[in-house]
Amino acid sequence: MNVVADHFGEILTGFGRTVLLTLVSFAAALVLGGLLGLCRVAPLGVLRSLAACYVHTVRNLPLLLVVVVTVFVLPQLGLTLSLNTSVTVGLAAYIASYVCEILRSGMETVPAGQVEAARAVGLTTFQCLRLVVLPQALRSMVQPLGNMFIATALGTAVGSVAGVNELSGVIRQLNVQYVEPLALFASATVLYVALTLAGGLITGRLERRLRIHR
Amino acid sequence: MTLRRPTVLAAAIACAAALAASLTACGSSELPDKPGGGAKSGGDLLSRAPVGQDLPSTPTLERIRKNGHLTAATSDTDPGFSEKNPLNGKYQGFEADLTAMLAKYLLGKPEVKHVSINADTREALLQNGTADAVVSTYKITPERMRKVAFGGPYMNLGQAVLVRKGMKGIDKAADLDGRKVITTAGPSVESLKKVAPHATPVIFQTISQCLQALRDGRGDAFINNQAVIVARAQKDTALEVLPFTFGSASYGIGLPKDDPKFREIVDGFLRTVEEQGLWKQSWKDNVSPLTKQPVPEPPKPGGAGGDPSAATPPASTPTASTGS
Repeated sequence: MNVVADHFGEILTGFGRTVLLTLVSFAAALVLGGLLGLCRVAPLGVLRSLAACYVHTVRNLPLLLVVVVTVFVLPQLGLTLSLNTSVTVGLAAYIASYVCEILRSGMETVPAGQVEAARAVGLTTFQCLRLVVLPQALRSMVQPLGNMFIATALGTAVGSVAGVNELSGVIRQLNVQYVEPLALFASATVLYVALTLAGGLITGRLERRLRIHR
Repeated sequence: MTLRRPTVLAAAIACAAALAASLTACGSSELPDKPGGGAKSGGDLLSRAPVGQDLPSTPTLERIRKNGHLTAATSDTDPGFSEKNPLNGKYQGFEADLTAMLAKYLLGKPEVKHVSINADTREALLQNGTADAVVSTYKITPERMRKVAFGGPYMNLGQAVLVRKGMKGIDKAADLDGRKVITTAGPSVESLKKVAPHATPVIFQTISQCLQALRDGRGDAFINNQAVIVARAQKDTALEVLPFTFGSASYGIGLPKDDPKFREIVDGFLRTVEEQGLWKQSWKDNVSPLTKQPVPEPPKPGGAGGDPSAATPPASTPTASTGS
């Protein structure tokens, strides 16, 4: 048990890095996934197929593989990012494929009749999205996006195999040296649960606030 | 919004195939192209290896005999020590030889079941009985001795440093302080923290990944045990080994803590193979070709297992030390 107390600073630093990785990757995934989602319903066939191709490829790969590609394959193609950035990019690219599908399915909850009605009153595609589809779609997306936040937080652990000293990496190194798996992994559990619970609480709040009382 | 499924699927598969191709291309450059040294030593050495006589009955030994094989946790990516040959699936290297000889010593036949290992799980594998022994550059430390016992030590190794050619400013181990140092989880990190407490370890899973990371400039140096470093440096002219080593330490065979008699059997085994010259033969076949150094004197086994105070290696142990 002393190990955790003696190395609390190190563990907290690792946790800080995990939180940062989570927030930045998730924000990037929201932006990229949002763009992809819009492409998925775009009137242009090329955009639709490109986005579909991206989603079907990336979503069907293990996260570990995606991160290995950003860490080890990109440098061979002449693009060397820092390890933190590489892991962030890999994680964001992966989560974005899910965000895209959440957005698309969210938009599909809006009945086609409403879209047709919007067209009939002369709204452009963009206006139709902004005024009719998205306000309704976003509400139904809050909980699934909350799940993706949790997936992102847990996904940051792949950083530990790619040279990033986030929470899992710090815990593993301490365990290799001090052989106290119970205490160390228990402390990691507490911190991960704290992070994901915080995410869950925020999405719960958001969902209640955005709910439409009919 | 409907998908023309076949097209999309085909495109997705094409993307995946291209990705796979690029991955294999990067992986294949790391494939071990080791000459048949280890494979050759295997059979010859094993036929000369001793079979233990009048071994006392211990729980672990009984379990091994009942299973009909020794379950050993070993690495499959440590060149010169324990490496799985991708062509025939056999393990080769110095530690692989020791494991096979230990199985023959206990069972009369060299039947080994290899369990793959990583640095996190070695103690757990021994504690829950998944593995009978851990033979995988397992450094003997007082912390570990609270959880497991050690047979041996069976070798002393120092850490060596690999850098990109032309790297300046690292003349001794302490110069690593404050730098990013690439390595694998395990003894290297511990040794690094002792000599350079402010160095940032950048940890990867495999040695191939570490080398790739070093080439990509993700750290100033790559440290690992000297045999691995020297072996890899020979294959890559863009990298060079620095002429010093540090953190020499004793390595032992990890064993269940609750079976001291079994530890004595393993120590007896190590003494026997050392006396019969098999230890030196295997080192000569597997490690010397990598280090280009003469075979060292084997360390004296025994005393590593029980008493934590005996864990610290003697100040001047004979090692396969390169340079100063």
